[in-house]
This record gives sequence, C-alpha cells and structure tokens, in this order.
Amino acid sequence: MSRLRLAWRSLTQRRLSSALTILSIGLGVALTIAIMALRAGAEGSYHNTARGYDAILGPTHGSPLQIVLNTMFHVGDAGGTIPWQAYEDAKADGQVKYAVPYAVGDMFHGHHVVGTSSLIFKALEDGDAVPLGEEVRGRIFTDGLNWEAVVGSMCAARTGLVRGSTFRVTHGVGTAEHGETWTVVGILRPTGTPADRAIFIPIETFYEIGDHGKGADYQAERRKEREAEREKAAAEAAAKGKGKNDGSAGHGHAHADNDDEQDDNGHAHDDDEGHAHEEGGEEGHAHEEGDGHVHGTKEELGLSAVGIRLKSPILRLRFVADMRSDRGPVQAVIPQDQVRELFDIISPLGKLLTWIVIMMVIVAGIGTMVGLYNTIHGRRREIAILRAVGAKPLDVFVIIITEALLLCMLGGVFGLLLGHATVILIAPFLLTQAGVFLSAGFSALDAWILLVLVGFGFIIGLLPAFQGLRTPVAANLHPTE
Amino acid sequence: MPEPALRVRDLRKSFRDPEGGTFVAVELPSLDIDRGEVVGLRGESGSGKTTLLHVISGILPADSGRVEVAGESMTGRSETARDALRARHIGYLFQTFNLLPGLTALENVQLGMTFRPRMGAAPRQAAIDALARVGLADRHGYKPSQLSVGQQQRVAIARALAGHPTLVLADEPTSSLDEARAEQCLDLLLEFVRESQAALLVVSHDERLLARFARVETLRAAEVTA
Repeated sequence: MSRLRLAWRSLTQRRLSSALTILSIGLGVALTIAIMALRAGAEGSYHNTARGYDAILGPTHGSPLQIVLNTMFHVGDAGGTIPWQAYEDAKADGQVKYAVPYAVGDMFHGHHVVGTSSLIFKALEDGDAVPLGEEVRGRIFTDGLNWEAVVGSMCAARTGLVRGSTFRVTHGVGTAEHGETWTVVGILRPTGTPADRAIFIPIETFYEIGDHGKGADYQAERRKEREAEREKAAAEAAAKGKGKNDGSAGHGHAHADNDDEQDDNGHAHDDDEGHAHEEGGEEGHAHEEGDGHVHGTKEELGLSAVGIRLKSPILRLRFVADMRSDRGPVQAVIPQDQVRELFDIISPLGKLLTWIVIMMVIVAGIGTMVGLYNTIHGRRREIAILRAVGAKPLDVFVIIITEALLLCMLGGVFGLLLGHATVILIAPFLLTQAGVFLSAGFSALDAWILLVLVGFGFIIGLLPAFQGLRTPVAANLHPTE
Repeated sequence: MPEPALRVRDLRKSFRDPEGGTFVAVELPSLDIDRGEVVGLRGESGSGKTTLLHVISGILPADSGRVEVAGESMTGRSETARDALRARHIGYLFQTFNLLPGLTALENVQLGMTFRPRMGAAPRQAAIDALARVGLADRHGYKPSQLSVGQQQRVAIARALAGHPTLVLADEPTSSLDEARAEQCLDLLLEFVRESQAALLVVSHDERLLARFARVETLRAAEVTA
C-alpha cells in the first residue's frame, strides 16, 4: 500500500474537515480564476478595440485619451470637432489605407449613436481579428442618405431592437427625440468590444438630424421635397441626354452618393429652416460648442473624429508627427498608446484585487495548516501504529505532507473547475451587459496555479509533518496511555 | 548453525521519573529464541513486559546491553535503522490490536508489509492469503468498526504474520477476548507461526495461556529469572 493511499485514507477518514478545507481552497482558486478572466477580458476588450486603427484624428481641445475613449469606446464626449476637410485630407494622404469618419453626440436609450461609414465594419475587429462586418445578422447599412442602422449585440439585447425595428434618437442623454427615424438592418455579432454597445448609422443621415421638436411629419415633408428636387434634376438631366445619377439609383437609393450631391440633395439644414447651431451662429439648434455633437452641414460642423488605418503600422509615428506640424486644429493620437497609458493608471487597482485574492488563498492555506496541525494531536496513536509496523519518521513526514498536497491539489482542481464554470456561466451575461468578452477554457495560468498550490501544500504541510515526525511511538500505542 | 531469531544480552532500560530521578523498567541478562521456537514470558503488571517488547522491537532504544534480531543488532543503531530492521524482521501483535480505523481489513494487513523493503508487488496477495488463513476471506473491505472483537484480533494476527517475519512479538494477545475466543486466537497464532517458521515471544500474565507453551520465562521487575 502506497504512502499516497495512506494519505488519501487519512483524508477520507475525516471527510467533513477535508471537504471544508478543499472547499475553502477551491473558492479562493475559483475567485482567482474568475478575477483573472475578468481582468484579461477587460484588458483584451480594450486592447482589441484599440487595435482597429493606427491613429485617430481628433480636436486639439480634447486630450488624446478623451479622443480615444470617445471614438473607440463610446465613453464621454469628443471634446470638440474637427473640420470635415481633415477627413478629406486623410483620405487623400498617400500613407492612409482608409479613413473612417465619426460623428457622435446622439443617443438611443443610453447607447451612443455613431454616424460613420461602412468602412468601420472593415476597420474594427473582435479579439480574433474578425472584422465587425463579418457574420452580421442581416446586413450592414449602405453608405449614403439611407435611414438604416446597424446595432451592436449588447445594445440590441438591452433595447430590444431587432431587424426591422425603427427608432429615433435623442440629443445626448436628454429625453427630447429628434424627428428622424432609422430602420435596423443588421445586428452585429457579440464581439466583446465597445461596438457591442453602439448603434451605427450612415454619416449622411447624421447630418440630417436636428429637427428638434418638429417630429416625423416634418421629416417626411422634407423627404418629399428632396424627392421632388431629385425628380426635377433627373428630368433636366434626361432632357440634356445625360445620366449623371444612374450610379446611385442602381443600388436602390434615390439620392446621389457623392458629397457634392449630398449637399445639394440630401441635406436638410438650410438657413431658413430654423436648425440652429451656435457654431454656425445663425441657427437655433442648441448644441454647445466643444461637445462634439455635430449637426448641420458637414462642412459647417465637421466631425468628432476620424479613424485612420495606415498602409503600414510602421508609418504611425511619422503620420502623427506630420499631423502635429501640418494640420492645425487636428491632432493625431495612437490609440494603442492611450490604452496602454490608461492601463498604467488603472493597473494598480487590478493588482490590488489580485493581491486580495492571493491573500484569501493564503488565509485558506493557513486554515488548512491549522486544521492539519490540530488533527496530528488526535492522530498520535495512528502515527504510533504506523511507526510500530515499521514506518520510518520520514515515512510519517511524507504521508502528512502528501495529505497537505492532496488537499491543496484537490482544492485547486475543484477551484479551477468552479472558476471556469463560473466564467462560462457569467460570460454571456457580461458580454451582453458589460461588453466584456470572457475567454473560457484552460490555460497556462491553470498549470501555474496548480504548481503554486503544490509548493503551497508543501509549505503548509511542513509544520504538521514535523509535529508528526516527533510523535513518540511507545507512549501513544495504547489508547489508555 | 543459523543465528537465533532473538538474542538478548545484559539489556537494561530505564526512564526518568517525575522527581527527576531514574527507575529501571527492564533488566534482562539473557534471552535466546531460535527460529520456529515459541516462548511465553510471564510477568506481573508493571514488570516491564511491554517495555521489553518495545526495546526488542527497537521502538525504544536500550540504555545498555545488546539485542540482535536474525543476527542483526537492534541496539546501537539510529531510530531509522531500528525502524527498518523492525519492518524487515518483526511482526508485532498488540494487546489492543492497533488496527487503523480508516483502513479496511485488507489494507490493515497490507500495512504490516508496506514499510518492508523489497516486498515488491507481493503485499496485496500476501495480505489476501493471510486474511484467508485467519478465516476472513470474505471481510476484505470491512473497516475495524464493522468487525467483531475476535475478527479484529484475527486481522491483527494476519497483519503480524503476513510478511513472514523472523520474530513475532505478542503483547497480551488474548486479554481483550473471552476464554473461548482466546483459545481460538492462540490456536490460530501458534499454527500460523509454525507454518511460517517464525519465532514467537508472547508476554502475558495469564497462566492459562502460558500453560500452552513448552517454554516459559519469567520477567520480574528489573530482573528476569529463567
């Protein structure tokens, strides 16, 4: 019969105390696993999101971190706007692979509504580097003045938006709805990125927002006017034997796609329409300058930010340096740097949490040691019998150490299973409610935890083992003595 | 000529008393037991019978004198060396059986061989055979608390003899049993010892039990007389 079996028998003889010890160690380990997964999920979510762009153009008023948080994480405000021309310049820049415009400021039930182009679904990826546009339920919106929306998975789950749903937005966190109505054409798959929390609409429609208090009737009226203008223009063009607008009509839109035509045909803000922007000075739309809420013509109001994917990440520093010297009110920030700085700020908190959990496991270990130590006194006769049948002091030492190791290992395995089960159970909830993607599954960390527990078990077994080693044999062989 | 199973010369063991003095627990000038020989050792309570067995088995070190088991010296050795020698050559049958409550009957018997060097894979089969030999072939998985007192004693006998020791030490082996069971137990012990050619030293104050032995020594307080 092996020492291992003897140790196991000793533990099973004291089932309750052994089970409670395993439970306490297991809970500590499970908590460690869950917190590590949560931390990794949160960090991964941030880093994966930051990976989407090589640079972000934002207003010089805003801090670089503010620009990144607002643009990519849909947190806070943009801190101002940048000229539309900055977007045009970026597109024309030879270093830029593609540029994605961002116009933000409106909300739907607490979720940011992002005016952008469909390139965003190509630029942003999930943790597995799969573009957001892949595996969308439905489809992504069509660029142009199409009142379509693509909704992040968490936003959809929270708000109840499904394909075909229509919705209106509010300015900021206010309750006053704008009159425009969008139709949901696609729901993004869960990605574990902030995109899960947002609603994406074509930027052209974003510039149409602003009919505060006028409602849908006004919007319908304006649409009719625009259609009439287009029909008139088409008729004129046909009369001249030209088919200038055929391209856009070909994909089912009644308006032109190029910017100039959008200005002419699709824009709803004329000076006499009463859409007031402080920034413009002549309109009454009450947006404070500097909040990044961009309603009006795109030239007047500009953008909140522009996401930049360069032809090569090597160009980042050069691009940022060029922006510093060349582009006036626009600054370029590297999102990865900002996220790294953000984690430098918050990582002590994460470390503190980790240490608290480690302390919990140590306390559980000390409890195990005390429990084992106390049982040794009651096991003096058992130890004496072992010695009497030929066990050497070292055998007794090994058996008691093995008991401690078994308790720690079983606690560790139980904790790993419990921890991962917890992660698997809470992962969908966290993904839909917090946008944090928890990666379930065993990893090298688990092996490390077990390895640490082996060392830990050895240490906490030492004191009881030495006590067992010193147990006098002859004096403890008889129950009456 | 083969070495005797047990040879004791001028053995002395003393303890400190609570007043700081010492008292002699065992004094034994000479005792030889050959292989296959069965010896009874008579002694009143407090005469040092159990202490003598502890010293012979190496559980306690001797103050002076010499103990040899199967030709190997038990005295003058480290505790670990005495443990190894005990595991190799001695089977111990305790007055209170000293079965481990957490182990099954089979495991308790195996325990007697667990610490014997070079037993290899044999212990389990040897334990099964020993249990069958004492009539408990159908009680392998029983814990001591699930066995009667007589069955517990038989498990203890199986444990003491399963490893085929050179010397079996039995400390009041029948004191926990009624007369009929004591007889059965002794019959079993003597038969088992005879079959395995082990030497047997039984200490007891029970004259009825000692009457079964052809050779009986008497241990007196701090002295032994033949």
